[in-house]
Amino acid sequence: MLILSLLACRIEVGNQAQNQGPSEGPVELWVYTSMYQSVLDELDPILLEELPGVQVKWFQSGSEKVAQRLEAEWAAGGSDACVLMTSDPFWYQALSERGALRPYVSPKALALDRQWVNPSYTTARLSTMVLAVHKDLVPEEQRPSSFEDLMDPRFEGKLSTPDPLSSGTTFTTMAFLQEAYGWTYFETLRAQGTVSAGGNSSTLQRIESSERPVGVLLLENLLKAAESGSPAVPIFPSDGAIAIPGPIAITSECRHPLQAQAFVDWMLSDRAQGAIVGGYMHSPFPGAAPPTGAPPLGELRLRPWSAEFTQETAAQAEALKERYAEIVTGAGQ
Amino acid sequence: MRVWLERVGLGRLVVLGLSGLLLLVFVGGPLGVLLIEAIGAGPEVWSGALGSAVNRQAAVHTLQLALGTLAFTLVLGVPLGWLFGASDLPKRDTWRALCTLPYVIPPYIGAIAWIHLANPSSGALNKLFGGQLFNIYSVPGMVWVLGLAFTPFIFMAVASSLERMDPTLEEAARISGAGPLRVFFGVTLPLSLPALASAASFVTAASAASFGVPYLLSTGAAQPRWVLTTRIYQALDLAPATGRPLAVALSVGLLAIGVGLPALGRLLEGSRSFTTVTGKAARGGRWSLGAWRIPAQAFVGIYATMGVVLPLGTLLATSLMENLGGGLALENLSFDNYVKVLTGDQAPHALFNSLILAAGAASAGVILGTLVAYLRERTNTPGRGFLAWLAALPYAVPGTVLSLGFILAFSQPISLILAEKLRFTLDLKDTLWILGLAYMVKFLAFPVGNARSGLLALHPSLEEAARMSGASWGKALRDVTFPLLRPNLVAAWLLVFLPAFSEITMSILLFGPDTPVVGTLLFNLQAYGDPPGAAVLAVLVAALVLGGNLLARRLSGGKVGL
Repeated sequence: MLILSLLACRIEVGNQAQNQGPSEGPVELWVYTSMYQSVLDELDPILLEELPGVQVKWFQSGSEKVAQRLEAEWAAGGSDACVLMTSDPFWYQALSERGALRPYVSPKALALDRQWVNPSYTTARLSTMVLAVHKDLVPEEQRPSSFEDLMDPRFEGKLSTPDPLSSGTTFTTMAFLQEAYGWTYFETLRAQGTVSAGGNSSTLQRIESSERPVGVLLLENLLKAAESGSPAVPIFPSDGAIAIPGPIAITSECRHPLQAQAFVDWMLSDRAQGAIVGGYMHSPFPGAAPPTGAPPLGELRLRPWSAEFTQETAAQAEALKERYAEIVTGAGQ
Repeated sequence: MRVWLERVGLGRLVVLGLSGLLLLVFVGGPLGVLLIEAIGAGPEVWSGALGSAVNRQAAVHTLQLALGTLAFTLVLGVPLGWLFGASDLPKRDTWRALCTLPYVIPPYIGAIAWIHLANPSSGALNKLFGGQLFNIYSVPGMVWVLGLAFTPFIFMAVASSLERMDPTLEEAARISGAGPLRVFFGVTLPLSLPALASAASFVTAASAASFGVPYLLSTGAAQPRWVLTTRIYQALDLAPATGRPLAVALSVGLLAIGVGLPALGRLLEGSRSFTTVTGKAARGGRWSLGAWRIPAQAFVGIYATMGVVLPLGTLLATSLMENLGGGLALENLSFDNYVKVLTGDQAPHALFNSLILAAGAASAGVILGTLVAYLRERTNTPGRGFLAWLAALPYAVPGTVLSLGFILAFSQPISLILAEKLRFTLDLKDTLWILGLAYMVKFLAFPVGNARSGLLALHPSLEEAARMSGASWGKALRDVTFPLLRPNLVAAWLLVFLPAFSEITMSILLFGPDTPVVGTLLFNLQAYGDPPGAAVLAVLVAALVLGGNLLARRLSGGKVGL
C-alpha cells in the first residue's frame, strides 16, 4: 500500500526554479483551441514553413472543455496557454473585462468588418447556426423558412436542437433568439415538445434517424455530413442565420507575446484562412471563398453583433441559463 | 509505551498504521473537505441553491424517484421472494437465476434499452401499439427502469430469510387454524422483516443516489426531469470554477435524502457479509401453489421478460442494426457496428482503462480492507472502531457526493517537501489514479465486511499457534489467516471489480481528456449521437459482467458469485 501511494506521487528532486535561461531552438507556443483536429492537421505543415521560429503546441478540445481546463489551471496557479482560439465570444468578453487578455489588434484585422474586431480579441472564423431538415421526410412546402417559423404548430413533435446549457454555440443562438422573440419563443417550442439535448452531432443524428426530422444546428456539421451522403440538408433562415464568431486572443500571462502576435497575424493570413474554410467554416474576411456547398458570407444575412449585446449577454449568462432551465423543466410555473 | 510496542511489533505497527493513514487521507480527506466547504458556504450560496425553482424541482424529483422505486420494488419483490423462498413454484431455480440477472447488470444499461423501447417519438413499443402510449422520459419511466433493476435486492432478501426460517413456526399457525394469507401476514412477513427492511433502505438510498438512469432519461427528453445528482453534474460541468459552491450546497440536499431517508444504521453496519449464501437451507415444507401455479409462473415470467429478456434483446438487436430506422430485417443486420466500435480509437482505450482500474481498485481494496478488518477484529488499537466505520462510510455516501469530495480535495497538486530538496507531489487531477482511488474507496465496504465476517468465523488460536511456532506476524498472516479467508476475499474482489468496471456516477465527474472509461464513453456515445455504438458497448459490458460472474461461480464451485 505504501508503494501504491508513492506511485501516485510525482517525485521531484531539486529546486523548483523554472528554467528561464535563454532558450535555444524554436519557442514553444501553447495554443488552446476548439478548432477541429482535421483543420489543425492541415495547419501544422504550413506553420513549419511560415513560422519557423515558433513551435506551436495544440491543446484541442470542445470550447467548453478548453475554458474549463484553462480556468482550472489559472485557479491552480498558472497556465502555459498563450493563444486562445475557441468559439464562445461571451467568454472572451468576460476574460477581457477581468484583464486576462493582452490587447492586440493585428494589422490584418483592419480588413475585417468592425463587428468582428475588439481591442482584446479578433474573430478568426465564423460558424453559422442554421435550420436543417431530413430531405425525404419533410416536403418542400412543409419546410421551415425562418427561426420564427419554428413556432408554427406543424413542427410539433418534429423539432430538435442542441442543449443551450451545455453547448456554447447553442447558448449564443438562444441569446439571439431570446432578444429577437422573447422567452415566449422558448415557451412555445417547449409546448410543442421540442427536444433540446446534446450537441450539434446529436441533433444531426436525430434528423438522420428520422426521430426528429427538423433541427437547428451548425452549418459546418451539415456540410461535412453532406459529403457522406447524409439526408440532412441546410435551410438558410430568412430572419438571418446566426453567426457564432470564433475569436482568437492572447493571454496576459503569455511569456512570448511577440511570437503570439506573429501567430495571430498568421491565423488571419490567406493560407490559414483557407484551411479554416476547408474545415467547413466561413472566413470573416469579405470576399473570401465560402466552404464547399455553402453560399458566400454576404448571402447568409447574418444577424449583426454589437458590443453592447456581447457585454450584456456575458454579464447575464447565468440568469439567462436559469430562466431557460425553468422554462424547459416547467419548474418556473 | 515500550511494552506496547514490543507486544504489537514494529512491522505490524507500520503496516496497520499505514492502512489507517490511507483511510484518513482518501476517505477522511475528501469527505472532510466537503464538510468544511458545506459549513463554510455563505448565505448567498444557500439562497442561490434554494432560490432556484429548478433546484427545488430536482429535490422533489429525487424524493419521488427514491420512494417510487421503493414502492415498485416492494410490490414486485415481496411476492417474488415468497414464490422463490417458500412456494413450490415449478422450475424455481431456473426462474430465480434468470430473475437475479438484473442484480449484476448496471441499471443504466436498462435505461438505454428502454429508450429504444419506449421513447415517445420512435420507441419500438410505441410504434407497435400506435401513438405515444409510453414515455420513458419521465419520473415514472425512471422508477420503472430503476425498479426493475433493484427488485432482486428485495426478493433475494425475502427469499433467503424465508428459506432460513424455521418452518414449524408457520406450521404452528396453520394448525391453529390460520389461513394462508393470515399465516403470511401474521408470521412469515414479520419474521423476514429485518432482512426486508435492510434491503428496502438500500433500494431507497441507491435510487436517490443514482445518476446514470436519471441522466440518460432526461437528456433527449422534451421536458427533462432533473434530479439532484444530475444538477450537481451540470453545476460542475457547465461552470467548473463557479459551480463548486452550488454543487456542495446541492450535495447536502442529496445527502439529506439519500442517507437520511433510509435508516442510516443498517447501511453502516458493515459487519454483514455481502455474498448471497447459496445452497439449500432448513426449509422443509413449501406452500403448495395448486391451481395458482400458472398465474404465479406468468407473474415471474413477466418480470423476467421486462427486467432481462426484453432489454437485453433490444440492445442486442440495436447493436446489430446497420440503420436504426431500418427494423429487424435480415439485410439490416450485421456486425459492422461492432467492428466500428472495436477498431476505433476510443473503445479499446476505454475498455483497457476500465479493466485496469477495476482490477487495481479490487486488489488494493481487498488488501486494505483485510488489514482494516484485522485491525478491527484482532487488535485492541485505539480508534480501530472509527477506522472500520470510516472504511464502510463511503458506500453509504452517494457517489456524486463522494466524487465531489475527491474533486475538492485533489484537483490541485498537494506537495510534501522533505529536507528541502525532495518533493513529493500528489497530482491526481485527470489521472487514472483519482478514478482508481475513488472506486476503491467507494466499494471498500465489501472487502471490509467480507474479511470481518471471515475473521469472526476464524478462531484466533490458529494464528496464535503459528506465532508460537516461531512464525513472524507477516508469515502467520500469509500462511494461515489469508488462505483461510480466501473464499471471502475472492468474493470481495469480485464485488469491487464488477461495479467498478461499469461505474458511471463518479467516473463522469472525475475522468479527464486522456482517461476515458467504459461508462463515460458509453454515455458520450448515447448522448452525443451514436446510439448503435452505445448499444454495442452496453452489450459488451453486460456480456463481460455476466460472463465474469458465471466464471467466478464455476471456479469456486458455486460459492462465489452474486
